[in-house]
Amino acid sequence: MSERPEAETDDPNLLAGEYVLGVLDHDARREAERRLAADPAFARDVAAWSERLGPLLEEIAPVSPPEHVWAGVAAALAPRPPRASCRTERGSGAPGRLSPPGRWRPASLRSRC
Amino acid sequence: MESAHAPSEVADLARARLVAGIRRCAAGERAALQELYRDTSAKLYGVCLRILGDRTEAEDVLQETYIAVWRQAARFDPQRASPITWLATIARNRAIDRLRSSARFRSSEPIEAANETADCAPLASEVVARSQEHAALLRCLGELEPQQADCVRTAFFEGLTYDALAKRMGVPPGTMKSWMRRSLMRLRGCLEGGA
Repeated sequence: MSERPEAETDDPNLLAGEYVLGVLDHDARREAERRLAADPAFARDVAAWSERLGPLLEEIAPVSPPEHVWAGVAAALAPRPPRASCRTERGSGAPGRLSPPGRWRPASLRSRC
Repeated sequence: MESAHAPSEVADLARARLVAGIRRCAAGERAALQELYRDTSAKLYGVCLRILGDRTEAEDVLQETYIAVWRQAARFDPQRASPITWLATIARNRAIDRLRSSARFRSSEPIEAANETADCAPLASEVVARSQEHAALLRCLGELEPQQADCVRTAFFEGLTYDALAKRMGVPPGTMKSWMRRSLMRLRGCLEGGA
């Protein structure tokens, strides 16, 4: 693999490498992500670069996170039963309030009933 | 060059356990996420902290990461990615995104005295190999110019853009970009059975 002229700039494989390395600015990164979602060959390149550079992660020492982080994850993904019980408590479940939007949002942590 | 990656001849237990954990998440088993969290959150938190350098931000991103893991578990392909790399990559990408968006709010970029030390990441020579794959990567990094190898490491560990790296090194962004692309090409060649 000898040095080639700068005309290489369009090599999608190198773009994948730059994306994985993390040197792209915000806009270029978004652009690479769009491509990642749409272009299987590019996605394979990205995966291959992740495996190539991934071993550097082994140098990062683990640090125990504070407990509340898991609590936040668990709360965010908590199953819906609380809604059912809210409904029973309220007697006649008003259909209007049954379905929060499918997506998780932080607010849902506290607004079960 | 397809997705030929590290031939993990021994499906070591930890790895198999993580693969199983991610699959169970994909199947909607919540207990699996908790186990996965227990086994990997310290690693992933370390990654977030390394990139972000701020505990609160890192905690936030860590939380988002496991929510994303839960949602994306079905997309994990053990043929293509090792489970810990897959997990850490989600964390690292989110941390970099956070870094980029907070940099956007700060109108002036956080610039550490843009000249002085032309050192990106020292200590490269003191790193001890942790695995075969890591050893191979270190060997290939060792074939680059030391300064350029350090830039690769800095980019990876700090999530710096070309512009920020260039400022730190006191070179024009274009120079940084061509250094880096050349480094990437050489790494790719070296890791793919080249020299």
